[in-house]
Amino acid sequence: MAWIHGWLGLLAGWILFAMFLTGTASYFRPEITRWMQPELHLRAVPPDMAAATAVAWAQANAPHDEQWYIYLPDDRTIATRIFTRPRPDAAAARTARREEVRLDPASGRPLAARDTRGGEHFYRFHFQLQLPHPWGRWLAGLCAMFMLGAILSGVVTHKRIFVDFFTLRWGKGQRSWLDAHNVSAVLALPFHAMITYTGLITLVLMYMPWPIAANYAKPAAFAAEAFGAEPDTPASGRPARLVPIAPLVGAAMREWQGGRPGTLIVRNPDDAASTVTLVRDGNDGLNARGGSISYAGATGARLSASPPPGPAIETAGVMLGLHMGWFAGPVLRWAYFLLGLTGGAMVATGLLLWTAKRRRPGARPFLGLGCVERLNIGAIACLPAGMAAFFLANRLIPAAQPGRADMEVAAMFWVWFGLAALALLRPVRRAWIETLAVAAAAFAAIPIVNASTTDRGLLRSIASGDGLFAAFDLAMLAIATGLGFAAWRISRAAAAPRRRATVARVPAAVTELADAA
Amino acid sequence: MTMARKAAGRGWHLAARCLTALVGGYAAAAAIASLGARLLPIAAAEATAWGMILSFLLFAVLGLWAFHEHRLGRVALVIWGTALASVAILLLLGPRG
Amino acid sequence: MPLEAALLGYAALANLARADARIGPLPVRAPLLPPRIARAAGIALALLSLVAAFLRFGPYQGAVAWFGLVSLAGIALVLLLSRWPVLALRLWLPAALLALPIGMIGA
Repeated sequence: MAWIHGWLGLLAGWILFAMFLTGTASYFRPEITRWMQPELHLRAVPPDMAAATAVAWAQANAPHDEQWYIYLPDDRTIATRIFTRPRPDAAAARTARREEVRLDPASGRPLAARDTRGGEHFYRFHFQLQLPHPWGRWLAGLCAMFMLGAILSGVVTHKRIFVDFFTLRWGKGQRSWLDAHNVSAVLALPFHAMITYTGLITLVLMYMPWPIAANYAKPAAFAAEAFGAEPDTPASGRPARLVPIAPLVGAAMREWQGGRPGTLIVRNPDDAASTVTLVRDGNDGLNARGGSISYAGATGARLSASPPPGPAIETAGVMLGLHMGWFAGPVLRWAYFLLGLTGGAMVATGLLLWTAKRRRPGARPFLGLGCVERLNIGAIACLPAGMAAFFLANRLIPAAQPGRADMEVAAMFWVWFGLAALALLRPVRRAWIETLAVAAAAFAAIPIVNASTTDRGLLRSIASGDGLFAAFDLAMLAIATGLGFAAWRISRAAAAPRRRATVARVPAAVTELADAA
Repeated sequence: MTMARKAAGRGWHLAARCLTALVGGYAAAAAIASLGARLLPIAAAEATAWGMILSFLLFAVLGLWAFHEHRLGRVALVIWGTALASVAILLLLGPRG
Repeated sequence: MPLEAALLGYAALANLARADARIGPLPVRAPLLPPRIARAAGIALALLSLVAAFLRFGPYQGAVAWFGLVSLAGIALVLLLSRWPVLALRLWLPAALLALPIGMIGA
């Protein structure tokens, strides 16, 4: 079991580390997007007003489209997102699918701010790995399965799991990495197991559709039975106007006893057979799927609602909710963030333990060890540098520059892989120190660049009570400190290995585990 | 056998085991989950959902067992055999009426 | 800030660490409890932290919150233990006492 644990962790470790870092960042997806558009000062509005302004925009700009998808803002995202699907037989002038439009929910006007992917970039990377569909999702799923196998085999290997529960010894090379790996893995084991399994469930329709085929001749029947049939009435051909949307929102909120709508789907908006479906926000409880209610668009009559979920569907919804963490308030959100970083630490310490165990002082490292060392540097030190570069690019690329959203993304990948490539020119230890130092410097630069290119620098934010911008800059400084501390420790360990007073004697179990690693 | 041929034999055995664990394990987990979903005497949507939810755990356990059990023949027989048998039964049964 | 479950979790784990023979036979000096009593106190504090989580976040989110916050408290404890073991263990009492007023805020 220890052998398979090591192999599963090694083969998937670098990608898993990247998934952990980008996924952890994604718990603040809307906050990152807001930080990356500092020109915006939107205020939150009630959902019925946001729905009304969105529908007004859509009626003015896409009145004859087939479907409107309107993502209503909540207190974190604060901007409305609209996405329309034109009729298939529309004029040939329609080229590619329309991009998503973001609106100010108070006025209904499109946002005037620098074009950026914002937090969406890390979120998409987390499960698509910047690879074309469907390969990215399959690879992410494969790595998640490796992680699940590593967790199960890790628990079996570490049978006496409470033996070294509190043991963490510094400055002892391989022993220290094993302690750190055990601590970060075991103390947060409930989170790691939950996040891995629920992560697989988020894409279960893609990874495991076979039970649907076993029960249903037509796969769409499963979705209809599980989540309620979508109103699929074809357009009648008779034109009609939509009723005002705000009363429908009010009716839905009353039916949900205060629950808010998160999404609005309008089908055939200019037709007499139009339908308006309100999908509940998944933020209220653990179940991320809140159910939906459909109304006739021309009359406002209530057509149908999604059936209350059975235990299995509810379980799947709760698993989705646990992974996404939409239910979490500020404290739990930060808890998710810190636990995600712990997961990253678990993967990283595992990778470092692997090399520490196989490094023989004075002996020439074998090819595999050299590869793993370089990949470790590339993943653990250079990806953070790339993420910092993404933020720096957001501030440094002029706001009106066309194509700037893609340039920001390119900045992350150029810095990530470029730094990793440059690090190949240096001996391993120097490479670690230098790449970590570059990453630390990049993060430390973010608040400085923010203050010099916008009017929302750290001091201004603290003074004006702008919690988000202040917290962001402080978080960047904290990350910079952590990376800098790591670089410093490595440079000192080289100079004069110091023995620190240790907390515990070396239990026999540790020797046995160390050999098994 | 020479050392090189022994090593090559081990190499093929390892490759076969990996393939069985990864591909066979996925097939077996998917097939067993689907068969369970088909046969479970509860609402179709519910049974389907339970099958989908539990399939990953099944896959992980089968995959780990494939490396834990020493005899490769047994591993291959159990995993590929279960996959094939389950798929055969499912094809015979067809989807729920 | 709803951190009382985390503080009680810290107190619980610190007592369980104290009860663990591995952490080192430290003399019984206030506020450190004798190891056997520390184990019982640790379990009691863990249950208290679970109750606090349920009261603050409701039944289901409370369970989720408990696992997450106690895990983070454990990591903080281990980091402190590795550097200042006696201080880390002695902090159980201030953490437990602080949980009460913090639990009152916004309850």
